[in-house]
Formats: sequence, structure tokens, C-alpha cells
Amino acid sequence: MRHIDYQKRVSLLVDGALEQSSVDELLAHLEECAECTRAYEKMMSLNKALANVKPSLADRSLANKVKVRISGESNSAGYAWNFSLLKQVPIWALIAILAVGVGDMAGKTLTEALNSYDTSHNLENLIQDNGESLTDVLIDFGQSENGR
Amino acid sequence: MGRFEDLSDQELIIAARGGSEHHFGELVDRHTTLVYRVARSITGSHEEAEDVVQESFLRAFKNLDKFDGSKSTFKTWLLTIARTQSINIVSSFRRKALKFFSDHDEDEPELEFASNPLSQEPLDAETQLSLKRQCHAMDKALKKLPERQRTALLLRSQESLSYDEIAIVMDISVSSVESLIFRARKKIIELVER
Repeated sequence: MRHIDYQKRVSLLVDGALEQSSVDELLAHLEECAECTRAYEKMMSLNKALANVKPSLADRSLANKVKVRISGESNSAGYAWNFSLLKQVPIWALIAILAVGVGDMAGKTLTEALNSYDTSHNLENLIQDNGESLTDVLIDFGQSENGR
Repeated sequence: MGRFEDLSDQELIIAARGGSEHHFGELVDRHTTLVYRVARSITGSHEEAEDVVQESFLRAFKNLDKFDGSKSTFKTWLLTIARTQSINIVSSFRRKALKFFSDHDEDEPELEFASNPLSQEPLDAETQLSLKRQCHAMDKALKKLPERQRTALLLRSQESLSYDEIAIVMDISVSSVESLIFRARKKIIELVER
């Protein structure tokens, strides 16, 4: 086996990832080979040094920022869910509701449409619409009241 | 002391899937530093690493239903997301343009070191300076490594991930991980000795 192949195993040994059957063979080689022993020592000190260059976060503000964003996302997801409920109503159902509503108003004056309950005749007595729109009725009513 | 400290990641995920932001918050507390370090090692930028951390957790939260605990741990799943996000940022046109028009690294704050040897025991000024130089030489050498080698090496040497876990995070085979780590070590030793 070449030195480079032993050194690949040294790298595994440093990480504790070398199979036990290969460990004994490698250790026997290291006892005889100065080049591979140097490689082992360098890789071991590199590992220690790398642990020292671990960048750290000085405070918890980043974690807090993340939580705030998630909370905001969670709230907006709630609104989206409400809208999605509306989206679940089939379009034909919406058209049917609209058609029934429009159909119910057909042939009626504004007062009749707005006051379909049995007390509508009381309002009819108070404000005569004569089939006119609500605006016209209110203007007429105002004028007649002012004219008194 | 957090309320959920005794719960495993898996238990927290189950609760978070049920709509508990607080349980997901505990996952954020547990893994923010790890994700930050991985993002920082890939992007080389504090600000970009912070962006990656936020985006990664947000993606994880939105896709929590897709997480499969039988295939990976939450940690490796999160790191996979963070690595992809970091690579996307590094290769983005916007970043390249910023790098071209200004020396982006000039504004970088000096690295804070987690296991700072300077703070562990009282050392004389000369030793402190020497250690600081070593740290910076190591940091400089790390930046010269290709991303895949650097990430594999740091996930092993700094974060103590197993070769299997690294393979999942990087979506490569275990033998590729072994090879990347070995080549990274050889290269970095050469660079530091120069």
C-alpha cells in the first residue's frame, strides 16, 4: 500500500471512523513510517485548531429574530387559511346564490326589495316610492318635509 | 431554563406540527448557532449567514409536514436546507455584482471564536498574539478550500457530525465524504505550512 493510502486511513482514524480491523494494521505501519506518523500528528493538531476557529454568536438576538419572523408567518398563514375556506366554495354555488338573490329582487321596487317582511306596508305609508329609486325617494321626501 | 429542554427534537416537531410555535421556537434555540456556523463557513459573510439562518428556519417551519424522521434527523434536514440556501446566495447574480463593485469583506466584523483559547486561561501577551495569528491563518486557509471540502471538514471537525450524517446533508456517498475530508485536511495543512 502507498503512503497516500495509509494517510487516507489516518484521516479516518483521526475521526474515529476507521474499522477496527484496519486500525491495527495502520498502527503497525505508523510505528515504522515517519512520514505517515507526521501526517497523523498534523491531522490531529489540525482538528484541535479547527475547534478553536469555530465562529460563535455573541447573543441570542438572531434566534429571537427567527422566532418573530415565524410568528408573523404563522399569523399570515391564518389569514390565508380563512381565504382558502372561501376558495373551497364551488363557483357554481356562488353563481346560484347570486342568481337566487337577483331573482328574488326581480319586479320589485327598492322599498319592496329592502323590506320584504310584513311591516313594509307601514314604511310604504310613510314614504311613497312610486317605483322610484331610493335616492329619488329620499330627495322627494326631503323636499316635501322642507316645503312644510 | 426553557420549558421544553427535556423534549427531544422529534417530540418538539410533533408538537410544532400541531401548531405550537413555542415548540418550534425551542428547535430554533437549539440549532441557530449550528446553522449560523455552517452558513458562515459557506458564505464567508456574517450578514448573509444571518439571512440564511432566518430563511432556513422559515422554510423548515413551512415544510415541517414534509420532514421524514425515518430518513434523517431534524438537524441534518435543517443543515441540508441551510447549505442549499447558502450555495444559492453565493452563486446569486446579485452577490456577484456586489462583490464586483465593492470589496464586500471589508465590512465584515472580526470573527468571534467559540472555543476561544484566549479566554480559557490567563496567557502572556506573546502567546495570545501567537494563538490569534494561528486562528486567523486557519480561517484564511479554510476560505481557500473549495466549498464541498470546507463544508465536509467543518461538519466533521467542528460540529462532530458522523460521516453518514454529512453524506445526507451534502447528498453524496459516504466514500465521497471520506475523500473530501481527507483532501481538505491535506490542502489546509499545506496552506498553513506555507
